Amino acid sequence: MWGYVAPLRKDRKHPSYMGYYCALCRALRDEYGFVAQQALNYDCAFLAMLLGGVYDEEAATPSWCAVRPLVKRPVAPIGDAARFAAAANVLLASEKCRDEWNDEKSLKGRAGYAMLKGAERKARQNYPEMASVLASGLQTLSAKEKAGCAQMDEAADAFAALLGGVMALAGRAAHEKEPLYGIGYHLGKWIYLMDAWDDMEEDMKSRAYNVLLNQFPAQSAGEVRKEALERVRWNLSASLGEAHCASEWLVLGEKREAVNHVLGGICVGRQNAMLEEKN
Amino acid sequence: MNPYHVLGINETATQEEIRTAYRSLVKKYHPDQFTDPRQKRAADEKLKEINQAYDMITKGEYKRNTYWGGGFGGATRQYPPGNGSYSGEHQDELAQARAFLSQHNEAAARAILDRMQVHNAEWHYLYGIIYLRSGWNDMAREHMRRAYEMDPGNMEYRDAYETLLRSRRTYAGPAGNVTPCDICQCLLCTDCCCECLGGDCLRC
Repeated sequence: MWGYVAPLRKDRKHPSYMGYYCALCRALRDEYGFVAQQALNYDCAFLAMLLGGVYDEEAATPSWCAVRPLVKRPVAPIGDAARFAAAANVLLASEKCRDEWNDEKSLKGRAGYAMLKGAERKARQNYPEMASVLASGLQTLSAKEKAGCAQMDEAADAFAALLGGVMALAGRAAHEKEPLYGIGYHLGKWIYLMDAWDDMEEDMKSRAYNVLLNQFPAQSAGEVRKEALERVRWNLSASLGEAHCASEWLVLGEKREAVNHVLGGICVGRQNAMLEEKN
Repeated sequence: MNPYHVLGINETATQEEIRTAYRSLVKKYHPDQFTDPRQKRAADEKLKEINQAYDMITKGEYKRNTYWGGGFGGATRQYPPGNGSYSGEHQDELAQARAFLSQHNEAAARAILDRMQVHNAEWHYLYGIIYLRSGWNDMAREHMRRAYEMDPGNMEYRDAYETLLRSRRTYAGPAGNVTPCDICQCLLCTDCCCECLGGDCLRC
């Protein structure tokens, strides 16, 4: 589910985005330890950067990095934005491991979940509301999938509402919470559909739940792709557009350019690459 | 409290001006930059006031323009049915539903539509609008398509369906020298901008 709101190798890496990627890495290590740091992902870096804009945090300052030690890298402030995103990163990574363990009986998932247990507990203590929004959202999602939902809006809604709910928590007032919910909702929907499209072959083979396989029944994933391409592409674009619209309602200052870069450049690029490739 | 007074702006200030004023005041009165505890407290109070004022001016701006009810998501709401009237089967109920949609009362409109047994073109069209405002784009598209198929001669349905397809499809993200209207490829923002300028590209 994660790794879609992330740059392709050839993408330009916007300095604000990378600044928050680094800040998130530090926040994960400082607050949650080495194992949590390994769970660092670009999706949460985007969240950190978005919140950095909302909270009007300072610009990045050059600093050393143990992983890439040759030259100083600009690191954004390790403040409220990075800390919030770090907690989200930990909780979501822990859930992903648990999911893999439950669904695929994957040992890697089991091990990952065990290793993140300490970090997860701490994140839950630091952000109890986030943990509870996540837990109830995942329950709803699981119920929808068990019921075999065959409509993409409805299936994606549970995940979208989950992400929206989490992001809204970062808002300090109604005028921040509402658009944050909107961004989370529509980006969440985009992520969900990207994931469904990406996993069609795998899910067909393992008979796992996949809303697109349900909505467009066919003999093979290839056939589904042929039939559903235009409609899925349209829906993905619509979701990004709505996420962008929601972001327009936030006061982002200098970070706006970077946020637009992610939504309009990086996400669109990855979407096009994925739709072209598996076709 | 006069929120404009607190933010130091005119009541005719634009969105941008309001935001700029808010931003600079928040920077100015952020308690973290004061070491003296009395000053810190005073700054804190001032900041509360500033946030209240900003909230009063912009409160529910995004929410007013979306529909989050009914377990849906939300999407910008400027997709009202026009004053065009519907006359045909089940005229009363459908006209009432249409009226509710013009008043942004999606819940009431939906309640009417859900009670109806017959699903004609107008029914699909109005339900399409509800889904559109709720952010359920795929469902919206399907209902709009059904409305158009069931009554292809109806310009309102045709325009709505075609505009919907066109606008959603072309989101390719902002480039360097693009205007806000180009950037916001939301169907609904397009309509809103049009209306602000005195036009109305979506007659519905």
